[in-house]
Amino acid sequence: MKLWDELVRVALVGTERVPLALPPAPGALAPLLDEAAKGPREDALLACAAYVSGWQVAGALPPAPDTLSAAPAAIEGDRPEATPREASLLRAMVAEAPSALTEAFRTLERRGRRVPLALLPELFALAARSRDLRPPLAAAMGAHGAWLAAQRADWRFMLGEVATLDASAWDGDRAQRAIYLRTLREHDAAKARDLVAGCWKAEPAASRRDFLATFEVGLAAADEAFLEAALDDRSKEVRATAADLLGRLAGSAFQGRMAARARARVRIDGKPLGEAPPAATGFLGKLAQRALGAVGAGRTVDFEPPSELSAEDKRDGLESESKQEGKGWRAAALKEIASSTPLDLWTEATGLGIDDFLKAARKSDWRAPLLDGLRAAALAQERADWAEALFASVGMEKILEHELGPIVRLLPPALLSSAAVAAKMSHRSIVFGTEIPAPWPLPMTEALATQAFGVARSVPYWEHWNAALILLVAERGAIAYHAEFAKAATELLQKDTEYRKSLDEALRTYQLRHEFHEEPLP
Amino acid sequence: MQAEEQDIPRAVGAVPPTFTSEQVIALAPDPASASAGRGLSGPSKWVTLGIRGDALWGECQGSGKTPYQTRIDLTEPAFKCSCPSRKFPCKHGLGLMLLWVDKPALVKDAEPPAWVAEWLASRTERAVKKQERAEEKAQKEADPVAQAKRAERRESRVEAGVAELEVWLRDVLRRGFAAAKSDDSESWHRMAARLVDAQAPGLSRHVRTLQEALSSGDGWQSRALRQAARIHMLTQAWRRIETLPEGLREDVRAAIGFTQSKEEVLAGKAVADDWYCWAQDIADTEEGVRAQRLWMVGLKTRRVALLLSFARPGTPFEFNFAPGMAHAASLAFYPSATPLRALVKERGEAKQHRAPALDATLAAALGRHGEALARNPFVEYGAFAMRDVRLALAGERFLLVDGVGRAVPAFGDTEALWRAYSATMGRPAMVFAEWDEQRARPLAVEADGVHYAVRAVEQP
Repeated sequence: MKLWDELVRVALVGTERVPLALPPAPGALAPLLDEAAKGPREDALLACAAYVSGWQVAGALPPAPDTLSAAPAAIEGDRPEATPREASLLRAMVAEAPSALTEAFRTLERRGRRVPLALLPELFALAARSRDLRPPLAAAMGAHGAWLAAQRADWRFMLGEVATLDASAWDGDRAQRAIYLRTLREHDAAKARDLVAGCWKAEPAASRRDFLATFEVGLAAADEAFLEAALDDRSKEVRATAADLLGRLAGSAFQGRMAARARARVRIDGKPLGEAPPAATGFLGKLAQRALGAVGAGRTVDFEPPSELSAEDKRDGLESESKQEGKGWRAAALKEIASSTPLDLWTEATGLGIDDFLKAARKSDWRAPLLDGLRAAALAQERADWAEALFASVGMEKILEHELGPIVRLLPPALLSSAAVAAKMSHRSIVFGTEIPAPWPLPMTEALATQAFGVARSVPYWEHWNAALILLVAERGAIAYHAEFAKAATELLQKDTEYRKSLDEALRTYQLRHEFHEEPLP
Repeated sequence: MQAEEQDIPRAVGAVPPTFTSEQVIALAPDPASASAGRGLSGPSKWVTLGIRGDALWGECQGSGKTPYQTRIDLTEPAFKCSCPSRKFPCKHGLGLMLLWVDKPALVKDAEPPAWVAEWLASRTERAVKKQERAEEKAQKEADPVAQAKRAERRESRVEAGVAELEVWLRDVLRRGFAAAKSDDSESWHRMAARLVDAQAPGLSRHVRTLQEALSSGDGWQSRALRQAARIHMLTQAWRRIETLPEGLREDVRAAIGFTQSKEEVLAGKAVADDWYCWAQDIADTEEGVRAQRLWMVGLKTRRVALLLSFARPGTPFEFNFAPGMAHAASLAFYPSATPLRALVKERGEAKQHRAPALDATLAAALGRHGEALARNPFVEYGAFAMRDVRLALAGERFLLVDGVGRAVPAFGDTEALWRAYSATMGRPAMVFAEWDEQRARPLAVEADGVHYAVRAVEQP
């Protein structure tokens, strides 16, 4: 405004240097400024400034920018928000027991409600740091949450977790397209396959790998052709993904090739599997075979590696460079063969039961890669019988090997809890606990809690593994066990205990889980 | 003032909780206390629990032999606990209150035990004594001769200070801001100190603000001129103070640095209403003291009141009103042409209520501010209590946009604004914001009947 600018100019330079010569003032201001200008120069300047600035401030209207986007439309048909009580408990969990959130989100989803919008900024910040939180949060945040995640660049990662059949997701970033494919595969796998095939040539290796990985959802025979072709991809990661998936596809040619290799190269009692004595028939025959198996000493498992890998071997992913200790690429090859061979081959070809076969395998020079491969196969082929047998055969000292970890999910609850007890030491029990999501079966909860409290009571110093176990029990234990846990923890707190901090936090976590789980009567 | 029997209002019979657990947590002095308080909100921690009227009490088993005795007067709320903690309220007070809010069925109506009754009685006694002391003090100061002498002395000191300031300010404008900018800070410091000596601390602050404006970056020239004009208005108003209407006279005196005693204000007329507490804003001041602003809007009178109180960290504020609720109270306003600041004369029950809005468009809200400016040119900020207004993103910044598309910049903690944006989904809602004539600072929003403080996390 010219009037104001002139006033500022004079104030800047000083009234002793320039006179006050103001441009005409609008309406009501004019007589006021005329009157003010009559005084001494400095007073006149200040008085005019007071009038004009007051006039400006009082009369200012904010602009109506046309670049503004409209308010977001209300989202219809979404699940209702969590109740105020649930919201309050969730808030408390964010502040004091974030480990309880995953279970709470699943419960909320089951109840048909969604996480309140107001909590999401904090939760997105948590999920940015903790990957495990993302899928349950994405499932529980509803369409409102998905809308919010799209509003901010550092929240968009959540969109890669939200299952969607909205075709516009195919225009999004790689994570969005991958999640779209995953969701689509559950409803129309052929369409998903066509989309991937359609964009295959143009996509960079990382995208090809991620899109191919989505085939694990509803993996079926119809996928085989595409996966076989992907074994020839120029990217190593894509090839590895294809090999991994084909190895899991029951009845695939790939599995057949691996089985053939197993038959040719694995020896039992010196003879190739393909030539092993057939399964015995008749009562006496079976008895004899069982007797032979039970002796054990005579049964050996061996591996006769090829002198070098053929082109077909390399295509199927049998590495020729290996970082494994010991026998190098040969061991890696055995592992790959074992992980993709249908597990029934071993028992059918040898006529041995699972336990007997594993007994023999454990004595082999090749036991490390063989057992690694068998574990991977048990997991991929979802064979609880093999999982149990492998678990039993390995022995406690091997529990820390991470590859055993995921297998425990296949074990029945009774076995888990007895294993937890048998583990005896907190740092081993924790390996079990970490693999099982909340809530644990009651016997397992009881066993681990009893063990942890026992250590806390009797051992004079603080053991960090035990503190971690106490916290894990509180985070994952059966809800029904809450009262017992609280009682034991409170009793322990009344003594002078080194575990005070862990017990306080554990009590709080378990209490919050218990309260969230309880639904008050309407 | 006549001595009256102070009757602390008490509800008859059991009081169902009118607080929410968020409001209780907001009373905590720091997040660690809030957390500890929650840890003590489980029934297994409390050996005794009871309530009668506004008195809530319990005994909490600690690590020692004897349990801690915790008492709460729900009218304020006020806390008293036998634990050694210096925090206020302590974790036991918070835990007890949370327990009662969450599971009122567990707290039975009962005859208060001796240790509770004694505390209540001593509170009544203290309130009465406070009243008596205030009257004594008023009587002493009411000694007309001494009072008049003191007032006269101050007036002449201020007069001298104002005269010096006028001369000094004219000099600044004569030489120009460009020259003043390169002055060393000593001369400014001297003028400011001189005004403090002249018992005009408000004027001293204005001089310091002008000095800061000179180096305030982009647009400093306009800012400096506005501030200089404001000082000029004040000095001229002082010269003519007798001719000004009464309210404006008080505003001029307040701006110069004259304060009014609380007793005087409380002795004046009070406005009774159900006051909705829109927002609570706590900030740390330079002197290490915490300042609490409570913004209240009267449901019937539609007036805005600002309750200002100060406290050292760890001590409670004088006023405690839970945001998001309406509180029956009598507020006594500091005299002004545009009364805003107030004190609590009496208070009653709180109840849940929808947030009241004063305006539906920015034009109306700014118009209201303009009217206030016309009555009192020394007003420095205003408050918006608006409906149908939304937070919108313009690049990285937030705007407050009304129903006809006008927008003002919204400022504050970024994460806090994002949380408010999330809670409202960027859709029209009720918003309360402070207005400094350039930007709006949202302090609270209400969407779908739920009240949210504009804070990054739901913690003080």
